[in-house]
Amino acid sequence: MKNIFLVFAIFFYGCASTPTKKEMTPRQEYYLGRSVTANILSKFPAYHGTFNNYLNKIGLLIVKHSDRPHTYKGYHFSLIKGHTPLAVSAPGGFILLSTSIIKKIKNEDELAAVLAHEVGHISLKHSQESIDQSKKSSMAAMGVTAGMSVLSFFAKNKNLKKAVDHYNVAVADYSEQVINGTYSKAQEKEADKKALIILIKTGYNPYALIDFIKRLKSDSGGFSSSHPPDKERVNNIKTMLAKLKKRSIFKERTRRFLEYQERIR
Amino acid sequence: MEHGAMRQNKYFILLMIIISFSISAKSPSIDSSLVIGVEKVNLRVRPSFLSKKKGELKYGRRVKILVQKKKWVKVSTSKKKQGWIHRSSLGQKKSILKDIGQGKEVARKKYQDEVALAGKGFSEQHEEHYKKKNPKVSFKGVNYIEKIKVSDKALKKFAKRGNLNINF
Repeated sequence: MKNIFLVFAIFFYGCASTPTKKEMTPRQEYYLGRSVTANILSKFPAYHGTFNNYLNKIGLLIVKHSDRPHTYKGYHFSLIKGHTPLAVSAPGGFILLSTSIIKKIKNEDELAAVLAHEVGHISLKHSQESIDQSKKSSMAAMGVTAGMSVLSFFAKNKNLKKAVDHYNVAVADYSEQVINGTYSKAQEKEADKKALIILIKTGYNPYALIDFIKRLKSDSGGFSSSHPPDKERVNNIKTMLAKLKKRSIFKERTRRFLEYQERIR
Repeated sequence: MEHGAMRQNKYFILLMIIISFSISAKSPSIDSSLVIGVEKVNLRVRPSFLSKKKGELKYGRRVKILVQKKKWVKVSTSKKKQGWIHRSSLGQKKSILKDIGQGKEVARKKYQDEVALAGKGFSEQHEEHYKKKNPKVSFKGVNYIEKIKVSDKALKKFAKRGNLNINF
């Protein structure tokens, strides 16, 4: 008889664990991205100015040359006020760059390289993996077990409040991870690779990514703390670009970048 | 007698294992039918973002793929509307129809709402709950960011001036 219960337990465990493999729909991704972005903006307020229009032109051009030009409501780029060099992406296509990181950039191609790296994370759906981790930890923190999903079916509305609570924790948790560096070194390498392809397709100089990483070397963090050590990262990129000749940067692009950069207060 | 009962028990266990395997093998199957997976997408004459628009398709609209050309697909709707869209604007039929409460999922809507909140889902409803629970987190900044728009014409001009590619 004990065996029968064991078989039932395996059977129900299989049913309960299968749905966790499902991907979020683009709309669910978008709403989660809005809350995460709102949370980040409560710490680093949005910068209002003409630079955002310029930033969105570069961003949208890059996106159109990526594998994933569509998200539920499209990509949105904005500067945020902050003294830390920061470039982050939230689910659904929200990409935020601190005013401090813009001050360290020398030309449009370097700015495009930073954006292409973040678009790379989104097109590879890296945020989804991070959310899974975040959700797991928040659920664990609240003492929720795997069997909970089966119980919630029977418990109906009683769990509504709990589910909302999980997400309040998950959003806060994920926002912190975004700011402090969410991605693994392997994911960062993948995003760098995607960025190089996007830059080449768009017509930007892919070596701009190396130039910018080298400049940030003396600063702690880089784009964020999850990025691999600079030397290792630069060598990886050089290997990827091995057969590609160095390109010169088109002067007009640098001119317009410096013009917009100067307007940032 | 006892031996017979044990044998019967073994058959029962075997049957349960077969059932559980058949269900777990069926659950992850991918639905090949597709629907629009973005709020709205322009239907284009040619496979390019710069091509002329010939209509708009909204989230959850069912489409049939006629031709595929790299990342672009020529689709047809139930109303015989045809045109090109980028592949990334498509989504999985099953999960999106669930998301908008259509098809077979309607009867289970109440349950789905519950599961969507308890599972991976995140919706407008979540946002409202989140706002109530976190009054200090303002969505004004997000709304401002979403309002920044760049027209295709302006983007083309920007690319040309910067000697950048416009073959997208």
